[in-house]
Amino acid sequence: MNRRSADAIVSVTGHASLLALSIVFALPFAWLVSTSLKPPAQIFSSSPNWLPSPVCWQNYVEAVNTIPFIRYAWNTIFVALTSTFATLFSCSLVAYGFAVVRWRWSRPLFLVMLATVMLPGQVTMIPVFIIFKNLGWVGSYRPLIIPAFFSTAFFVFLLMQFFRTIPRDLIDVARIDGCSHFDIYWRLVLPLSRPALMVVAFFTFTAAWNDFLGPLIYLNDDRMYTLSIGLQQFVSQHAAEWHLLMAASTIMIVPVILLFLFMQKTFVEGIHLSGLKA
Amino acid sequence: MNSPNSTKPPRSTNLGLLHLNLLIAAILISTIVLIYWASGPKSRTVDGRTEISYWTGWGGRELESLRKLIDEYNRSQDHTFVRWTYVANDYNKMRIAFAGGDTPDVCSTVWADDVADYAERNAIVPLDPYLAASTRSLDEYSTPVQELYRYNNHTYALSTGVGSFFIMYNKQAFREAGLDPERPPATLAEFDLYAEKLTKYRNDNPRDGIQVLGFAYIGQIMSWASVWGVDFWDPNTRTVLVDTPRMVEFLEWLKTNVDKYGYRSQRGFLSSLGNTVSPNNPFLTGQLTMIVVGEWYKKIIEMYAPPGFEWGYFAFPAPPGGRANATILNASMFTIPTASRHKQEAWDFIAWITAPAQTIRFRVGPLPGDMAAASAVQSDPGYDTPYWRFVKDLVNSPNARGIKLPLFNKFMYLMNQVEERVLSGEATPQQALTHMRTTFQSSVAEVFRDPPPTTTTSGSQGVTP
Repeated sequence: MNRRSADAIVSVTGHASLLALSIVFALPFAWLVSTSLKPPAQIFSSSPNWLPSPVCWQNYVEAVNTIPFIRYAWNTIFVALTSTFATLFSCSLVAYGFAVVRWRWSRPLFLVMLATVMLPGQVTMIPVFIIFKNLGWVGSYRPLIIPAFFSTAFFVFLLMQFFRTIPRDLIDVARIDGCSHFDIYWRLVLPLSRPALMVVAFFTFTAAWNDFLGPLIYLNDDRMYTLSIGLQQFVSQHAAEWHLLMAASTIMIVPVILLFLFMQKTFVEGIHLSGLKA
Repeated sequence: MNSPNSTKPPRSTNLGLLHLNLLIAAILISTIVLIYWASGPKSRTVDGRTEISYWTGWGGRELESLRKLIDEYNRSQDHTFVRWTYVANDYNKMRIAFAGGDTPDVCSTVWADDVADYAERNAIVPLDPYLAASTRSLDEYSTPVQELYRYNNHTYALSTGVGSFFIMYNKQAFREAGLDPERPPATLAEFDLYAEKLTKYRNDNPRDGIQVLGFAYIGQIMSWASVWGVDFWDPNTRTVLVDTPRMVEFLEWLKTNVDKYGYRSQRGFLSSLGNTVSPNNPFLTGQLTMIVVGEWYKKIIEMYAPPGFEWGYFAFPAPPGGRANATILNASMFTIPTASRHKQEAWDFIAWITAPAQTIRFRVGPLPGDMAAASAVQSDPGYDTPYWRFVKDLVNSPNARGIKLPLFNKFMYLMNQVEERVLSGEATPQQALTHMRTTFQSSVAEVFRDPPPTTTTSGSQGVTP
């Protein structure tokens, strides 16, 4: 066997393995879409069918009409976009402070900030709820959005890793040219950090888009609900409208998939460069 | 080297800074506007009526049905408007709201198991004064259901339905094991024998693992303990009662039966079983022959059972000296949180929604899925079938009772630990129970420093109809 044939065999087996793995990962999504188009009786038939028969597009219509889907979608978009914007702004600013600016208490404060990653959400849930309640924020979107303006330790750490890869000389030259720190952050560091910012944006957006517990705890008016809670309305105490739930879930994940497809190249680059992959 | 003039920024930098400052100002302004908008709708158009907030955990068809009833109530009212909110059916939001002191005016998102805890913490108000001043009465309910609503001589809740637990069995499996499918086990000894006969191993070899389990003894500690005659809690002295010779006897029986099939092997088998709300339900697939269920399970069978599936039901068989026809009751309870600003309006709504006329429409409908709480509704023709008559007898049995103790989640966690430690052989029943009692009792002492509500009027202070 010559080298060329060996390379071809390696390439084919490699692609075949990746394809097989892709299918494994895609199966739950395919099942979701398939179920969303099935009539209720077919969902749990004793012999599982991948292809709905008949195809019930009506499930989508019914799902959207059973709950105020459009309103919930707008609410979700609002919360997800504002959280993403706030996280990008605050985390990058804090990360710049730790990664680029040299100041006396930088290291101990960085460690304090990192320590917050180790506190489980369950521990802080009730104290945080009480704080928001005393601020009069419960029943509004504020508890879901405003904390994002105070940065998240994980994303600060991620962005710091990226900022540190920017040549120091570049920053020093900007300083010599008279740029303030904010100027350097805004005009130099942020434009150079696009891939890492895209990663943070994607993670924040999907987390806010899929968040169930936050809106459940803090929103007290069904008109303000997000999609993740709205979908629960298809589930009763001992049963569920699976066909409608799957149809609504399919619609709900489309924006996230589209976002990923559009950002894929930058996103992968960001993960690679920020060291997140390791 | 910089000249003195070079410290002055060039004109283009000044312009850049101006643009940057404008951009930052725009971002700040839009953020403030967004945050203001984030406060959401301030109120509803209610024509001057008092608006009360109501949290429900019912979703799906139940929510649809409830929504219609609330609309009807709102149309009939010129004083009150009920604004309902769906809070998902795990009731966690309610627990956090109570902990944070930010509750609705009325809610049905409290399990019967949690009522005692909320009552001890003075988080919900007694309904007795409201009941006394209204046309409603506890006499509309059987004694066990009345007791479910009460804690420490106060009524804290009402409900539309009431849930119970019993055992269902697969008739075909009984036939195959040479048992009479029309005669379920009548005694505990018979039950254990049936469970053995119904259990099958792969290749008929216990070492190859369980194929069909006659009955899963693991995970039913509360129901069985109640059947054995164990009481859990004395509210007057705030003492946990499970550390008794009777409980030791019960745990020894439990361990003997679990050991027959191997604890690890049984755990492994149970963790491999499918979802209850699906055709992979292990009872419907024949992997479990007898199971502990609630009355709502009939709906699961109707939805997912294979054609020709035959099933029967019976109450937990009691040991000598135990409680015959015993069951643990539970329900989604309508309660009024202490923080409610409109208690009278909240009560008016509870009185209306739990009244028989509404319960019939909410609970019974064309095909009842749950047992109604009110005796009058239980007599509805919709319940006139052998199955529902059985459920009705069970719910109203003198040995039907709810679990009423504070720190219920902690109690359950410790009880599950007792089960785990005893069945795995890590501790004897007595050791496990002594440890459980000590731990739970110290938690109770830590949380509840005041005397029990029976000796104080704090539980009903400020509650006037």
